[in-house]
Order: sequence, then structure tokens, then C-alpha cells
Amino acid sequence: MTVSFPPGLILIAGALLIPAVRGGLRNLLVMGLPLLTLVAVWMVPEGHTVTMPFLDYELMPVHWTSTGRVFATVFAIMAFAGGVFAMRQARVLELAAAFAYAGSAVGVTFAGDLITMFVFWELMAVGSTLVLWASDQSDAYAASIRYLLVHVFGGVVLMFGVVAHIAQTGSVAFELMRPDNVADAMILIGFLINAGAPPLSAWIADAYPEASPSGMVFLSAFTTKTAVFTLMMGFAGSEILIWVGLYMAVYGIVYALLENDMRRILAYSIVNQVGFMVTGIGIGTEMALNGATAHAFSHIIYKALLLMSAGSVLYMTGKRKCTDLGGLFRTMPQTAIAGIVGALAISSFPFTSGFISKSMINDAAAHEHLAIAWFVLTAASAGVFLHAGIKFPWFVFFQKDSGLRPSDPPANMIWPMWLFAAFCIGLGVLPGPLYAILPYPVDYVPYTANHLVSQFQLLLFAGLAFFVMLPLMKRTLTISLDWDWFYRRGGTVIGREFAVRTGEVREHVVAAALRRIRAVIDGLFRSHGPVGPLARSWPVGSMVLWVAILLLASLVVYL
Amino acid sequence: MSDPRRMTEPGNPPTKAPDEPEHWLVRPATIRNLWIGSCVVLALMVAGDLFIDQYEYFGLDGTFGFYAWYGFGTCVLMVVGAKLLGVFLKRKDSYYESSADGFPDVNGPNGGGGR
Repeated sequence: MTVSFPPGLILIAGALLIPAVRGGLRNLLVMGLPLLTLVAVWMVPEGHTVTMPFLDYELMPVHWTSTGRVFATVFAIMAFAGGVFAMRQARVLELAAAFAYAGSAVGVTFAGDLITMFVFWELMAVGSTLVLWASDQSDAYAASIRYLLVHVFGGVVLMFGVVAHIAQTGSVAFELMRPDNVADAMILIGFLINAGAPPLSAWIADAYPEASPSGMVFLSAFTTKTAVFTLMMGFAGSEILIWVGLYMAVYGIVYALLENDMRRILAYSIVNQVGFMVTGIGIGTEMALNGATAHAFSHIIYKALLLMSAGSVLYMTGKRKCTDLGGLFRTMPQTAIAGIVGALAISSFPFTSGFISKSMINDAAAHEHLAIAWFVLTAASAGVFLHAGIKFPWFVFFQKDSGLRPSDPPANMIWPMWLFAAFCIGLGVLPGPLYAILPYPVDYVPYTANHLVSQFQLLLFAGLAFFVMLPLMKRTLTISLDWDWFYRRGGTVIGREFAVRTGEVREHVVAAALRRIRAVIDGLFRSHGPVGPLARSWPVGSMVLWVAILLLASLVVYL
Repeated sequence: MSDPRRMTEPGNPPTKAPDEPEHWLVRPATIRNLWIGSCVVLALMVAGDLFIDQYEYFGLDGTFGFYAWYGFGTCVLMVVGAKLLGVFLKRKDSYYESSADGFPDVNGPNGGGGR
């Protein structure tokens, strides 16, 4: 049997059913729909394309690519684990929205034309905003509106680019482009906004941590990684992406180091990790693209694991700030182990999934002799261990004892953590199956003596730096200003400045007008006032005198 | 906590009992041993460079113990750099919260310059 409809539609249609049923049937849907999607993804035959006429165009709602299949596979796995994690605790709206969101992301990975891609792209924005609306955190609504504004803006930019691209080339096909003309540059900017590239990168750390404990697990996976997929299909090898990616990798570390909210630390580290992938896409060699694809796969799993661990802590304690947490390893051992495994994987520790994927990107930079890229990526690899690998588990599960003694969360939250922890280690020990489905043939051996020694040196000395610098890392009750200041505060400041300036002008205008009016009144007063020449009362005698003079004058004239 | 397997109420965790014994992992002796053990591992890792022939792409990356000193050095730089940047970028975490009239108060106690 071949599947000739977009596999993502299973999740989207199923999402509409979720609120309609309850109890065991709903649980069955939550676990069954992602698995069904996974099967459908693998039943689309290699190279298969389904076309559909729409207006004057041939749409390709199903277009098989090897890269798309890798992303769709991990999206379906993610929807399964996230669904189980959310099943009993999340609101129904969140579950349904998250599934529609996941389905749209799968839809993008099979889109062969720009119009189909755009439709699923915008559905993702709607689904993810609804996930935020289902949140139980107090600031979620305001954050969701800021989130929506950024994505609607990104959507408009993308739409502009797509329309201009179709007008220029006459083709709707989603193929490799070069950002050397306005249309394709706009498409690139639209993709990059969803990837969390500067300057609009603050939305990730602003909105995601306001989602519910399970909501952020979903949010971390789909939007940025779909952007990575579209960048790979549309702009592989565009050099500007190297620089954008390097900026993101460093930005994520610096901001995460300053951050106090545990889930915001992890949000910044999403930007950091996507930075590695974007750099790989910019390098654009087969090895780099394989590395970026494999890293997206590993990243979705270990990031979800980290956020499940953080979400469990938030769910059980109701607290998010490092300053309120600490010492939880005593009573939440399973959550702590999940967090530590995720932290080791994100740090690319040997024998975890991050090691077998990220080292491909770094080595691709070395093979191409991109010195700056390689030195920055290597420093950023050490920095990942610093800001996420140690900082997250240390401040949440160890450091000072907060005195809190919560237990591990309920079973449906524990099991997905074990599943993903097993994935993190399994992929690290046996990378073969993942390497086998990558877009290009893999000729790469991650486990060599050189690799192991250099990676252990890099990470362990980064760890040493953490504990040596610990006094400098003391958590404070602060946030850090980012580019979002311009749309959150800048408007107010400009508005106030405008009000002050226009206030001065108004005062001048009013004063000048008052002066004019006063001058008119004064003039009228002079001529028509009680003593003005035109309003004086004249004595009868003077009138008689003037009449006599006029009569005399007429007499003289006419005589 | 009487039974460690019983789930506590979500969002409202119990706190430490006054008679709770100190966990072995946080005793000063354990921490000292961890430091000693870690230093031995660090030294072994650097010594590993003696036995392998590191690839060299850029010159600098072939120096002895490159990954050790580069990892340590860049991490110190990043922490110090972040700290310096924090002087300019850090604000109280209530910075963006609105005041009573629905407008963020630019000159109020939460806003304004580098506080």
C-alpha cells in the first residue's frame, strides 16, 4: 500500500477528534495517532510525488525527500512522547492544538511546492499559539500575543517572498534558491524568523517558557526544526547562514549564562543548538548537511527530554527560578537522571546522541578549512556544557538545598523520560540506523581515539571552568534585555518621547494662538471699549453743533 | 517524608523535615573526594594527548592539550563576557510587568536606567 496523502493530515484530523472523546479512547488516540503517522511517513515510496492542480499551478502536497523523511520521523516520535507526557495533566485544548501543530510540521516536510509549504507553515503558527493559550502560567497570554505578532510578521515576509518568487520564475516548486534577489531573500528571512535568528530571536525565550509544563516540550520541537528543514531544502550552501548560525550559537550561550529561569535557560539553548544546524546548512557540503539533519534528530529528542525533566520539576514544585530551586535530586531521582542524560546529550558527551551528530558539523567546518567557523563552533561546544550541560542540572537538582522535597511526577510523565533517555544513549552507542536514513551516504566514524580524547578534554575542562567560576555564576533575580526590548518597551519610550516633544510644540502653538486672540480682543477693546472712539456716548450739544456746521456748509456750497 | 514512593501534591511540595539526615552526596568529605577524583581524570585526559596523534587543520589545534586549554579558556572568556554584558543588559525580573494604569512605568521603581 502506498500513502498518497500528506501524512501530517492524520495528526491534524485526529487533533479535531481528541476533544470529542474522553477517557481511554482519548488516550488511545493520543498514543495511536503519532504511531499511525510514523507508519504513513514510511509508506510514502521513495521519490514519490502527488500533484494536484490549483488555479494555474500544480501543487505537490506529497513530495518525498530523504531529508523530509528524517524530520517527519522524529516529529512523529516527538508527538508520541510529548502526547504521553501531556496526556493526564494538560488541558484538552493543549493536546488537540499540539497535535495539529505537530501534523502541520510533518506537512511541511512533505511539501513539494511553496504554496503547500506556506499553508502548513501558517497552520503551525496557529497551533503553537493555541498551545500557549492552553497554558496555566500567569504571563502566558501576553507572551502568546507577542509570539503571534512575530510569527504573523514572519508569515507576511514569507508570503511576500513566495508571491514574488512565483511571479519571477513562474514556478511554485520548492527548490534550492539563492538569496541574491529580493524575492528569495524575503523567503530566507521568513524561514530565519522561525529559526530564531537575530534580530527576532527573543520570541523563543519570551514565549516558550510561559507554556504549561508539557506545552513547552511540544513547542521546543517543531517550529525551529521545521525552519531548519526549509532552510536546508531552500538555502543549503548560502554563506550568510554560516555567520547567522555562529551568532546564534554564541548568543544562546551568553544569554543562558545570565538567565535565572530554568526553562528560559533551555529556551536560549534551543537557539544555540539551532545555530549549529544553521551553520552546517551554510557550509552546505554533504557531510555538513548530514550533520545538520542528524543533529536536528538528536536535538529534538534530548531537548524534549530536558524540558520534560524541567516540566516535571515545574509541575511538582510550581517553581521555575533557579534561585527557588536546588537539591531536588534527593526526592526526584528519576527526573534528575532524565535531566542529566539530556544534559550530557546536548553537550555531545561521547556515547550520547549529541556526540554522533554535532561532531559531523564541526568536522565539516574543519574539512572546508573554515577557521573562524571551526574555532567558534568548538568554543560553543564547550559553552554548551557550561550553560546547559552543567548549569541546568546543577542549579535545579544540586547546588544549595532549597529544602523542597517533591516526589517524582506521575507515571505518564516518567515513562516518556525513560524512553527518550534510552534514545539519547541508544543513538549515541549505535548511530548506524540514524546514519542509514540521512540524506547522503555517510562515510563518518565518530568513535576514534582522537575524537574521544579531544571531546573529553574539551568538555571536562569546560566543566572545570564552571566550578572554578561558580562564584561568578551566582543566580540573581534578573532578566536580560534582548532585541525584544524594541517592541516591548521601545514603543512606549518612543511614545513617551513623542508625547513630551509634541507636548512642547502644543504649548507653543496654544500660547501663540492665545496671544493672537488677546491681541484681537485688545484691539476691539481699544476701538469699541467703554472709552474707545467708536463706542463713546456723544453729548447732544456737539451733534447740534455738527448739524449746524453741515447746514452752513451746504448753504455756502449751493448759494 | 515517610514513604518515598508516594507522590506529593503537584505544585505544593513538602519541605525538609528538621530531623532529616544529611545526604551522603553533599557531605564535605564526599565533595573533597569528588574534586580529587575529577583532577585525576582531567590530568589523565591531557596525558592522553601523549599517546595519540591529533589531526591538525589550522596549526593551533595541533598544540599539546589544545582542547583542554581552549575549552577552559573560552569558557572563562564566555562567563566573564556574559558577566560584563550583564552589567548593561540585566534588569529586575519584574521589568516588563505593567504598573496599575496598564502602562509600563518607564521611570518607576522597576524601570529606568541600569538598575
